[in-house]
Amino acid sequence: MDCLYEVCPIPLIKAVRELKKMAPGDILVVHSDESCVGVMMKEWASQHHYSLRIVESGAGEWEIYLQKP
Amino acid sequence: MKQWLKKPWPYWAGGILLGALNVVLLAASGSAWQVSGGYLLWGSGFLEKLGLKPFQWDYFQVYNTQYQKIIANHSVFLNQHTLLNLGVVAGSSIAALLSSQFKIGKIKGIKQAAFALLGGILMGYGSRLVGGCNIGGFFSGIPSFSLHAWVFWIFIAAGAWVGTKILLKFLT
Amino acid sequence: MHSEEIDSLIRERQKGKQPRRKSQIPYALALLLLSCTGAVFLWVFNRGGLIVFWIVGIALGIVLRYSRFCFAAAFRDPFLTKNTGLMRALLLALMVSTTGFAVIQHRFLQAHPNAGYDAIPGRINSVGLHTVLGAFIFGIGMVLAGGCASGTLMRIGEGHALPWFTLVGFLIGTTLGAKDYPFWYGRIIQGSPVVYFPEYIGFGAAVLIQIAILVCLYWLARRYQDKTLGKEG
Repeated sequence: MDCLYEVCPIPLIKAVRELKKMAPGDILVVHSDESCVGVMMKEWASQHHYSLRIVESGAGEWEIYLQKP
Repeated sequence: MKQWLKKPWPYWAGGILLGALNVVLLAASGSAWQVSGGYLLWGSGFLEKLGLKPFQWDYFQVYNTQYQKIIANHSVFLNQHTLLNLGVVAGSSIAALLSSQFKIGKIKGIKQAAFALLGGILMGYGSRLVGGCNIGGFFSGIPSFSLHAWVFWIFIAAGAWVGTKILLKFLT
Repeated sequence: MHSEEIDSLIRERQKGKQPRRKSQIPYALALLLLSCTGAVFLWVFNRGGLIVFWIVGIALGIVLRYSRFCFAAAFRDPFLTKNTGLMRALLLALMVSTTGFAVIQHRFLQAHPNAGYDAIPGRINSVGLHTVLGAFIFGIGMVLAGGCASGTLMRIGEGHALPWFTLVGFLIGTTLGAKDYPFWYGRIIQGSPVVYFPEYIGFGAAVLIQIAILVCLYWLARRYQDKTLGKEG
């Protein structure tokens, strides 16, 4: 999912919406350049028991991997 | 070292440091952290360049202890507020560069830009009514033991709630 | 929590790309040096102790960026994600600054017992319907723009383009607000009182009660999150 240039908190809202539609085990990749998104998603994922990995894919860009439990 | 520079700090550490820095600023300079006062001076400065006389508005008579000196010195664009705001920009740049995460962003579309502009206008107007933004009115107002900051707190939360609803509605 | 599948997906996706990651630390040091030069410049021309504002400003910027601190998110997230982490950080900040401001104000008032509200260090404004209205539209604007006054500055520093629009909007709004001030002043602000707590209940009591309230709010925020999200957070 492409969330480049989207401001906080839109990436998180979009990701949560997308994840609702997905089946358990599916992985969502969020691509974002918002610095706060990673931290926010990490907290969100740990509270909702999602697996999460964050990869810095470029200068000021992140790919956030979320797997539905 | 590199990893250490990249790692975000926890929220609580940021909170404590921000609180402490606000105290340092008040102790060293006699005025607390504020942001929108500088914006007001810039905006009025531009109007003055256009030939208007914003500094004769009643607002500056009411708050003259705060702005009188700056206006009299003709330092509307270079003053304590400007330096503080520019300092925040510079500091954030330094931090982003230190973690190698600086990146020139782009605008995604008209709608996004319109939201940003509209949001800015709403914040700007609101901050003049209260006499400060969420920094000057609230973050520096609560520790100054002023009731207005507590009222500000309740209604900024109400506004944030309505804003979230609007945002959720327009996203779909 | 870790997942094997995620790891393998990451490996797969990164196969095609060669890692091109330039370190920006040299630029950071250059900017730091430039900032120091600016500080020295201010020191030499020492225009009314302006150097303090510059240095504290930079420190604030660094802290804001590193801790991803965002006032907009602090007010918004309890509704949006039920996460109160930032709100609690904000409460901590207020506890620290309440204590500090108390010392400074107390000293000041001992030296100048008859000082007006304008002169007391800190920000003391009148409270009334204008506070309600102003805070409310500020709250809406803050969420729509995706950042408050300080967040806008921080984002500009990060290199984002969008907050420039917010900044322009802010300038327009705040200047308009000042222009319309007589309208609001005549109707609401004029009759609104300034409520400065120490005046009513004494200084020590004001400090203690305020800290107690902040601690209570912290505890409530913690409980709210635990209740809605479970204990993990």
